[in-house]
Amino acid sequence: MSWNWPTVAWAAVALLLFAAEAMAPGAFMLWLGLAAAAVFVLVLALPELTVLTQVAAFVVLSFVSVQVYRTWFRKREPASDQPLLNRRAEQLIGRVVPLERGIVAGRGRVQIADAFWDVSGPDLPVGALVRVVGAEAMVLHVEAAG
Amino acid sequence: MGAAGSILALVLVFAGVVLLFKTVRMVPQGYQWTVERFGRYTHTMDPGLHFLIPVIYDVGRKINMMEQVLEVPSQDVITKDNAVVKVDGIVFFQVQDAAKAAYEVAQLEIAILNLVMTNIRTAIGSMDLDESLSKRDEINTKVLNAVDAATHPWGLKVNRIELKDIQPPRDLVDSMARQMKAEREKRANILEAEGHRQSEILRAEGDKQAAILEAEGKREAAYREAEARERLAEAEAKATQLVSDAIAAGNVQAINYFVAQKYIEAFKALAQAPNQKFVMMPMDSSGVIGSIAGIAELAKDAMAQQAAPSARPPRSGG
Repeated sequence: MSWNWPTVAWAAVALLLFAAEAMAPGAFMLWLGLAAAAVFVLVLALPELTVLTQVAAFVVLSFVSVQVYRTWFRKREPASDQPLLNRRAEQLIGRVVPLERGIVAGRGRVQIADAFWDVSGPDLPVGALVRVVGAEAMVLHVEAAG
Repeated sequence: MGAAGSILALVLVFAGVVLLFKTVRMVPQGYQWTVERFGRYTHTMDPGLHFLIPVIYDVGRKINMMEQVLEVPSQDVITKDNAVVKVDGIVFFQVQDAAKAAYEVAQLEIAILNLVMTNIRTAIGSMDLDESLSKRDEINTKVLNAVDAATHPWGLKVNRIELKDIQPPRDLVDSMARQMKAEREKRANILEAEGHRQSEILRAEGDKQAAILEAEGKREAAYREAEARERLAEAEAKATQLVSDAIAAGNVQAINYFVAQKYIEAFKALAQAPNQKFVMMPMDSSGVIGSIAGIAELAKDAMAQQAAPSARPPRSGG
């Protein structure tokens, strides 16, 4: 293990990029840091690499690290404990509410909390209880409850 | 390579400190911090010590879970009867779901404040001034119900909304004070008049009672008087009866003697009266003369001798 300048430089760059990423999250410097760490390992293994090759490897490895993350790690992302966050319509699935306006020709309206939602489903009179079974953009799909 | 090693050591220390600082996180009591993995929300950290993989995981929002109070700034509101009042208030709310409060709504406090302000306008706009001044509880409840329902999707519980001050304009306050004064004066006058009326009625009642009692007294007196006269008449009748009985038993001429005597006495009185101008003779003077004849007869009977023809009764003119 020889502490020559390129090795030290790449190790320092990698560490600084990780630190910068930790201080200012943006998932941008993380890939650069990973690439720098990979170049550091490369320089350790092949000390005779020219600086130009090292830099080129750094650039290429930056993209490679992103690709590796996309293919290997993204699928294994832990689920959020609130997957429906910011999906207001989908949060209402399962709710049973009376129709505020009867469903005519497949379209009606319900009031949930203080908001009105358009609903689609089988024709039903005003006041009939419906269960929200699905949501598509701003329209809730309902079926007769009970 | 001492210099290079030193530089690397320095960088390593710096990076280590930064990464450690980002790894160990302590959430204080009363707060919840959301955790993001590459900017995407994953979970919420409760108060206490937590460890996050630096760079990959990061703290998103630091949400205050304690009950908070918001000042609703003073605003001009028009009542149903077109009075402009200044209204301010306070809102107490508590975040129940940190993730929703963090990500479902942007600028939570501004959203709550605007919602409260518009709902206060709606509630007061549907009432007239007197109502809005006297029914604060009702307004509070109305606004609270509306705001609470609207903020549910943001993971909030609005516990209380209070109107602090409802201020009508100066001139309106003055006229309200005048109205109140007039109202009280009116009540005082009415009470005074009521008292006066009551006293007059009582006085009249007394007078009436007195008059009734007086009339009753008179009636009673008249009744008794009539009774007395009746008694007197009865006595007279009895006396007459006795006299006539006596006459029937004796001679009728005896009565004529008494009558004639009275008649002559009466004439004597008439003749002596100083203001008399003329004397009217009774129509039945002949009866009296008759009675004198009766007396003569009586005398004749008594003395058993012939009576002389009766003299004419004296006449006088005026």
